[in-house]
Order: sequence, then C-alpha cells, then structure tokens
Amino acid sequence: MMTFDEHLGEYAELYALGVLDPEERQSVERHLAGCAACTREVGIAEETVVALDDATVPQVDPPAELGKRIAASASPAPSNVVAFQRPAGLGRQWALAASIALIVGLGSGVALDRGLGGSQATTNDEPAWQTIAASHFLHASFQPAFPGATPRLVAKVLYARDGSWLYVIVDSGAAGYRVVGRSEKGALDLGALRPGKSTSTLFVRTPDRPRSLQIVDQGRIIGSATLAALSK
Amino acid sequence: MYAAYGRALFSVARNIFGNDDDAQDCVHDVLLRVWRRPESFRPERGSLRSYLMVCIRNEALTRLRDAARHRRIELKAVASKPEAYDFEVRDVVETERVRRALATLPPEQRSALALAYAEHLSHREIAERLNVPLGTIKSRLALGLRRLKSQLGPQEATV
Repeated sequence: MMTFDEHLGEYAELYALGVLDPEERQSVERHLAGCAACTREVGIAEETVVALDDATVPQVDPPAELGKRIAASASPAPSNVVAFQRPAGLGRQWALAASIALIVGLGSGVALDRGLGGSQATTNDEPAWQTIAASHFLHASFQPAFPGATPRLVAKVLYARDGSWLYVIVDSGAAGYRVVGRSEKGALDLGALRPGKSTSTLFVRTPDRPRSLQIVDQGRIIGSATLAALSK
Repeated sequence: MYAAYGRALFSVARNIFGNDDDAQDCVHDVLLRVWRRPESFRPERGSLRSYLMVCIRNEALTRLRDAARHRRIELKAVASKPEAYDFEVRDVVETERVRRALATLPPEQRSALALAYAEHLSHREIAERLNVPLGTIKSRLALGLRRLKSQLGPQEATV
C-alpha cells in the first residue's frame, strides 16, 4: 500500500488528471480523508482540469431517461434492506449482494442471504452472480396479474442492458412456477424458478430480450413485468 | 445535483466513452454514490461542480482502462508516433484564454498533458508512449498543470 509521508505533492495534480493507477488513487483518497491542506491542493488542480473541460468538451444534452433513472435510483430503499453493514473482508460478493438487495428490495435481505450463505442456492447461482457483477443491468417489478390476485407475488427481474441475460427473483418458495418471455416472435418458456432457502430464482441467457415476462403457475399467469426496449 | 450539473457531467463522460450508454451509466453511478455518501465532498475541496466533474472523469477513465485491459486491446493504437500531442479547443468563450495558457507551456509538458487529458492515457502509458522515465512524466504532468493554473488565473467560483 502506497503511503505519503507528509503531503501529496505532485500526486495532487496526477490525481486530478486521472492518470493514476487504481491503487495509487485509493492511497490518495485515504490521505485526503485526513488532510485538509492536500484536499485544497487537489481542489485547485481539479479546477484547472475542469477549465480544460469547459474549453474543450462539446456540450451534449443527456437523454431524457437519464434524469428519471437517477431519480428512481435515489428514492429511499426499504429500511430493512439498507440497514446492513458490510462485514469485514467480504469484498465484491458482499457489494454485489448488497446492491441487489437494494435494487430488489425483497423481504429481509434475502439477496444478501444468498450472496453470503454458502448454501446450495449460492453455489447454483454462481454463474449468475459472476455475470451480473460484470454487467450493466436494469430492473423491473412484477405486477399481479389482476387486482387481489393470490398468492400475492413479490418478484423482480434484473436484466442486462445489452439483452444478453435476465435474472428473476421471487420472495417466496415458488416450486413449479415457470417464467415465460413474450416478444414479437411470440411466447417462449424460459424455464422453472428454482426454490432456494428464502427465494426462488431463475437465471437465463437470452439471445433476444423479451418485451415482457410472465410468471406462470400451472398454466395460470400470476404476475407480469415489462422490460425496457433494447437501445439501438 | 442532476438538474444543475447533468449536462456538463454527461458531456464529460460522453467525451471519454464516445457513446451515450456508457456515459449514462457512469453519470448515474457517480451521482448515486455522492448522493448516498454526501460526506465524500468537503467544502475545502472547492466547488461541487468541479468535484463532480473530476469524479466523472476518474470513473470513466477507470472503466475505459478496465475494459481495455479485459479485452486486451490498446486504448489508442498508433501506427506512427508524432513528435507532439496537442489539445483541441472548441468553446468559443474559453478558446483564447485556454489557448494562450497552453501556449506558455514547454512542449514536453504540453505533450504529456495532452496525452493525459485528451488521449486518456495513464502516467505509465504516457511514459511508455514517449519512452521517458515514469518519474519524469509525473513531474511534467504536475508542473504542466500548475503552470496552466497560474496562466489561467483565478476563476469565478462555481458551487
């Protein structure tokens, strides 16, 4: 681990320019957390880099959906999910599990259980976790097929921005439930949800992203979710 | 934050990635991170705008370099290596001020800065590209940016 004896020196400018290795950058950030003088120096360097940005970067209006997406993500998550603290040394898998717990918001940290439990479910889901961790993804909630439908379905789908996979998670035992995707080409049975310790899941690699998903129990649709269209 | 700085942040990200999708993801993730950890910005750092823009820049560069490493491709393959690298100044208001400031830099500092800023190379990649020791490149970058700052002079604070 890189440390600084006193102050950052030239690393203030190197940090602001974004030329440092990840490890060096983390060392700088650790130093900044306790050094007001270097924080000011980095701030001055950053102002200069931003002056270059203002002079050279063409200004482009962001797509309208970006603001909505940020607003949706910034809305409060269920308190029983965000209350988890990161256990020491669990690293990336915890971060992923916590992210999914935040996104999915099902029950009392069920995604966290799956990520850390070392259970059969975690082993079965390992390819899914690895894929999700390396992807940009969106998510959508399943809605009941009709008002007052029973059993009440609490389920979400995470799906890759590029349409290459989707991951359905249901907050209950869902033995026998199947997931059907619908697209312009018609309906396709994507497979059965696998019951786990406290959730049921299905990870599917999809050559074509469906426009919608349905969860089906013995031929009866009990929930559906609409997916965003693939961006061209 | 997004209403005030979204356009500038997206523009910086898009300029680095060269596409809308990656730029959107980057802006989304950085703003959410700052939103959830507001203590990460300290007033002595300067303006919130500059802090956010540099956060975007660092995040975008990290993703770009990770992707390049994973795909085992060069960020910018060059068949021939020109003697000097330079900036492209676009904004009509800032053009003259920045151009004048850049013109005062010694060529070696200007080239190193251009490779860092405009070509998005890391300090090690710049050293390799220019066949110059890493320590020398670090000094050129730091001195170049300090000199640029002094030439640009004080700017109005933006919060």
